[in-house]
Amino acid sequence: MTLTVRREGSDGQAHRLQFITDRTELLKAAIPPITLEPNVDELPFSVATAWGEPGDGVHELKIAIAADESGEGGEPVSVTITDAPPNSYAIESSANVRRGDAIEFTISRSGPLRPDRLEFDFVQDASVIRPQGVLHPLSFQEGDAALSLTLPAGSYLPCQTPPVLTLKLETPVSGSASFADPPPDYCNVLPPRKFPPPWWPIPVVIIVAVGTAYVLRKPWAPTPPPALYPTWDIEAGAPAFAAEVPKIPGWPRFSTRTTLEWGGASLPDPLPTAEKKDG
Amino acid sequence: MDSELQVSLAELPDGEALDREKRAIQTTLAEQGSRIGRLHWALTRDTALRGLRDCLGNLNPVDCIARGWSTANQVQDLARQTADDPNAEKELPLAKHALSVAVHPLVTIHCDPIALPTLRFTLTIDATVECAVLIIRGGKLAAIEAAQIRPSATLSYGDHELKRIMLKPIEIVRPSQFAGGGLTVLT
Repeated sequence: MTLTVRREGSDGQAHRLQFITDRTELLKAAIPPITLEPNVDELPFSVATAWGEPGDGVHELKIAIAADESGEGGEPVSVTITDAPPNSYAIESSANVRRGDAIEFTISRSGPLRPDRLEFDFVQDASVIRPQGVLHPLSFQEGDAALSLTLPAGSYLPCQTPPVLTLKLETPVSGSASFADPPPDYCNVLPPRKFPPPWWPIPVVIIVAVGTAYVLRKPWAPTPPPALYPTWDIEAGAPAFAAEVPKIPGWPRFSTRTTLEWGGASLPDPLPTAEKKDG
Repeated sequence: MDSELQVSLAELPDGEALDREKRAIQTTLAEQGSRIGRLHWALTRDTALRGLRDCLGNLNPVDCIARGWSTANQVQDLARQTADDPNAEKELPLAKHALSVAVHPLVTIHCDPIALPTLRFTLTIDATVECAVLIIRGGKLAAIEAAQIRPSATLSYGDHELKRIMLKPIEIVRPSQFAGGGLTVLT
């Protein structure tokens, strides 16, 4: 923005003026002092405001001339700094590019030419391409109205649709390249299949082979020995089998049987007899 | 023999004595492969003890001694002399002597349905006879009178003595009849 210093009354001397601002963050740099020569009554000068962000609102900036003993600075001047409008971007690419060659995209912008950084992707048939040598993000320097971005040759598939550059903005912006030539013939050649059709003879051959083997086997195969299977007929009213092994109640229950066996005697032979006389 | 003359042998066996022969008894009980004697030793021992006490409690030492006398040649001669007449009677007065008789209590332990091998104990009665009059009637040793006997009893298992006790002295004054008309003498 351009401000003008106007002098009222003249003392025939040069004055060095210094400025005071209330919100220095709204300026790129402090306003440098200026010298007002004796024969100059008006002196315009430029002040660079700082870049704002879209949507950060309207700001009021007050600028005053610092007073000194040689004069008065007068009333401070108020400057309204309006909201920065958003940038809009557009993408163009070089037309009639030969398939497989490098593709140059030009990204232009309108609005404030503030420094800006944009993320982007190269996309081809819904697949993201990440070519080597292409730096991310895309950096706009102050004052840059347009930048060019080159998708290197050989970094995309020439048989598919042209690559698309997409800027990852709140509302993505895309631009597609266009090829000058149709897909080469080799693009239309399908890779050979390992098992080309038709496949239906395979199950037919298997069925025929199995059927033939079965028919031939019947008269030749030895008759297997008859298998015997036990049968078990349950008659109505038959006693049911015990579900559990019967337990011996109160086992172990001990008891004894005793007998006597004569073991013999040992006694004098003959037995001594008593005297028949009175003892 | 009359009951007042009986001297009980039931106190002869005891658990401690059987415990001393535990290994030998268990070996006998396991001869047919049963492990019950080893697994249930306390039950087995107590059962054997109960059987022994029942058996010996019903055994009269005087009967045993009389049966020993009945094997003597003099007694058998008198039995033959009286065998043809039930009322024929002979007396044999005996002076002091010693005799020994042995009987074997056979104890079979049942742990239903298993019967374990029989345990063969030996009861030996040693007696010192001061005097006795044997009465033989009708071929049998029918009664004893005027007897003084000092008996002792020994219980053994195999070659090992389990316990020995001294029994009360036996005194028989009046003729004491044996049951059933007397002991069979003739073999």
